[in-house]
Amino acid sequence: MSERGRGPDLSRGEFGLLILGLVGRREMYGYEIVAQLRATTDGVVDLPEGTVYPALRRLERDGLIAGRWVEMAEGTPRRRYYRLTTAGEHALAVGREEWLRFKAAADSVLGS
Amino acid sequence: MTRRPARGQETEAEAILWAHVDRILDRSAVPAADRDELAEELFGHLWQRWRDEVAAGFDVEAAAAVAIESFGGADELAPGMTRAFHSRLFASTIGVLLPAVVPPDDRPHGFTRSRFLLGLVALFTACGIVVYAWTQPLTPIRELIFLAVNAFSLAMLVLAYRALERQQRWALHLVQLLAATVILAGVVELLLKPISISFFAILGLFVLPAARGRVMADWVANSRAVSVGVGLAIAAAVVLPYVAQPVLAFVPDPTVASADDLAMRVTVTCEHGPDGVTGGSVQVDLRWNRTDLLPYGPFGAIYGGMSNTDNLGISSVSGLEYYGPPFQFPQGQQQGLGWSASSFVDAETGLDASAGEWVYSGSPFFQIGSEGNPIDPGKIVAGHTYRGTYDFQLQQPTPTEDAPVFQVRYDHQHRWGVEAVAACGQAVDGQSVTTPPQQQPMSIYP
Repeated sequence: MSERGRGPDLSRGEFGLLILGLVGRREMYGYEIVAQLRATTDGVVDLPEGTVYPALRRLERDGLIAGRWVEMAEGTPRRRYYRLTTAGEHALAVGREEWLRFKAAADSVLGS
Repeated sequence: MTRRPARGQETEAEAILWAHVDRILDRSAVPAADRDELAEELFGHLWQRWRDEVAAGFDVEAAAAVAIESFGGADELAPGMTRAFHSRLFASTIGVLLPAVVPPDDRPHGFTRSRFLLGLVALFTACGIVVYAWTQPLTPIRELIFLAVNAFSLAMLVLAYRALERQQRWALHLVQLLAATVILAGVVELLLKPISISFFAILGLFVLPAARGRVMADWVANSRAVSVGVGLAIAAAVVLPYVAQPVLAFVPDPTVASADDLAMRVTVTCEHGPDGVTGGSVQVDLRWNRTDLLPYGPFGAIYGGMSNTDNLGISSVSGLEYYGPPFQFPQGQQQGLGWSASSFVDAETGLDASAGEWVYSGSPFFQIGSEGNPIDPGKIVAGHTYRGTYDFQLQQPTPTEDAPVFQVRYDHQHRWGVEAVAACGQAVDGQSVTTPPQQQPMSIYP
């Protein structure tokens, strides 16, 4: 386990699923996603903040999320907000189901 | 369109943050169309983090440093950025051709030696590819394999040249194997030819200790471990060019001629005196029914033509062997121990076909064509019969039953042959010989 938390051990698929889970709650931008991820997982998932952007680009390229620019107040850089697409909703549902099944299996081995 | 302020109009903190964004993207293979927007998004993140840290009490510079530290370094993020827009294969090949990560002054000593070896071997490989593609000395399949092997090797060497700069472990492993291989090749060469000393082997002796040293190991310590697949690719890139040529000699090549492509007829005409045979002539007709499969080299195969030399040391020759009593060469037909045809013509056109020297017999084997005097590509036309006539005079009249018997064999690179054996008054068609025996020196003087 690194100082940042469970970063390096997180697979690309797991990381993407977590992002889908957050964006599925409401539209978010990158900085917000990182902050939410850290807060929601109580710091367990704490990757270098920049790693969220390749993941966002991949999810957008795969059509699971859609991004849009939002203008901010003068002097503040505009933000790119992401929302879940229909395909993303389906992927999130499938991913969540697979994760729960895996978790149940892991619990039965490790004891919950 | 990016909202990035013009240089000089940024605040000090913004300039620091933009510089970090540039470092990341300069080392990433992000398509130009996506770069500006991605840069703006990354900057927006850094800027917000910076602002939060300033609000928490950090000064401007310290806040920027915290924002950058939290965001991740360029080396850490660039590969992921590249993979977000490209396949893993692209990221590990073209992606490594991106600008260097470490300033030249900070590179270790072994780095320079390693890169010198990589660059030099790459240069020689490139030259070899050009020469082989231009001269086409091999048969088509062999040439294609040879070029493919060397092109792959060249690509790996060039990638490694840049990847070493980017501190990638696989590039260092390639250098180590390359240095060991050139040393080994140099030792083998020295054993085979004691007077030859390989420059590359000497270079390898300088490079290998540095490439295997602790400093270079530290240089690539943070890069990914080499997978089995990459390891095999490294081994193939280094070793295959060395073994390809000797191995290719055993690769069957279906794109060259076979015995079915050549018709041969040998006719022996004897002159009879009161006491038996006094002399005569041997007429050898050769007809190729196609020539498109004969040329060597992929380009030659397209354009047609014929050449019968092969730098593997194997050539196509016709051997005219003789069994019988001693005879004298007619005037002008003796070339050393060889036997020149009195005429060699294209039977269809009547034109002299010997201008290409491919009927010159310059060895004790009575070869028609040889490594030194190859069949001229421009002298063969499919469907034409090429007729060589060889005269002989016996030293003394010989009874017909003891008269000369001539064996004529076309040996195509020791892979297949056509052979005919004819005595006085006989006209014999050549038969396919699947494994022609090596021609043995034979004296015409018993």
